[in-house]
Amino acid sequence: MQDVMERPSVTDEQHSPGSEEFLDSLDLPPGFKAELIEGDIVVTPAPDEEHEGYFAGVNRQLSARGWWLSGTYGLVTPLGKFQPDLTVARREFFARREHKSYRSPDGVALVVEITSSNPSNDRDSKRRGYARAKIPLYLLIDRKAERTVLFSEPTQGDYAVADRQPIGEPIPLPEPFAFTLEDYLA
Amino acid sequence: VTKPIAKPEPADDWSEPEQLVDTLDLPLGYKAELVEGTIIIRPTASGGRLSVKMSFTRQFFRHGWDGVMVGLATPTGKFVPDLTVVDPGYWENDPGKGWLIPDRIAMVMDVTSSDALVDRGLRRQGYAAAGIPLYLFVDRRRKETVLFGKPEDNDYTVSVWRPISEPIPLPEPFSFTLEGFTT
Repeated sequence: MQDVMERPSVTDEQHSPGSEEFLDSLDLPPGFKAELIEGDIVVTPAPDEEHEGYFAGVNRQLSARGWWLSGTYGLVTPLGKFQPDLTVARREFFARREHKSYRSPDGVALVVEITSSNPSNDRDSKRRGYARAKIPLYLLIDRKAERTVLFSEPTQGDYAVADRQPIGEPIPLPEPFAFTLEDYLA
Repeated sequence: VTKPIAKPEPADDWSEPEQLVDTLDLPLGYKAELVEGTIIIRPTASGGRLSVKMSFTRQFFRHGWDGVMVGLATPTGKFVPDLTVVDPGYWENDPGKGWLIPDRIAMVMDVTSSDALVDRGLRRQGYAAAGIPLYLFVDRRRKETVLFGKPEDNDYTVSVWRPISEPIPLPEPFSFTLEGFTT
């Protein structure tokens, strides 16, 4: 039997084990979050009021329909360790115990990102990461571009479908949600 | 009686990324940069990437230029290029500590394979907005070099792509040709 040897790729410097260990030990002021995105450790400051308004507005409507959600859940994806602004799943997902700070995204129904001053990662790396993690729906509330994008049908490397709306407009969510997010800014 | 150890008061609001980027306790071999309000921490060059960087660094030294790793405060962010090239007289007017204002930098260089900041052009645009005349980007993934020149407003207006092994003629004030990188 032949052992398949993984050749070290030219992106070796991006996946030095140090970055992952360092991510967990990083000492940050309150509100800051650190993620590992395509090999970079990305540190984002505490969100502003408008960001939290969107968070609360989306949260409220999903909760009212029986969905469970977290704003600080860590997910392992093929492109890094992400912490979505909202991780939405059934109760059973949150009953799992992996005893790790970043965990498997299996069972996540929807992730939501609300952009901050730097929208690049939300638009690009994280979109591809969520798609590769096979998370069925990714809602991007892109404040800078003043629109929302609902990505669906994750395929090999990306989402196959992107539904764009001007920000503030109702966002129809497909099954298993089957309702429309409306009036989601405080 | 033990004297209480005075805890230094934070000089500024450390909850701001601008302050945090200077106070983060990084392990050796990492650099912190700031772009659009987000702090990006990534490893400095090592292994193959360091080999490419040093190959070019040696050539700059041979032609009388200094190559160092310093932090540059640009209009679009605080970046630490893999190599910042200055003439040896640069150090006589001590630029001081911390993030340098890149007004007397001859050239910067980054060696990478897949740097998200590079891919999105944010780093390049920062260098251009700072008026750094030349930016050499060595792309190990695509095995090519890109020499950017003539910064105007927020980007370079000239770019020359070459295979990574091909010599790179540098304009004034260098007026010598960098040998390409061969493994």
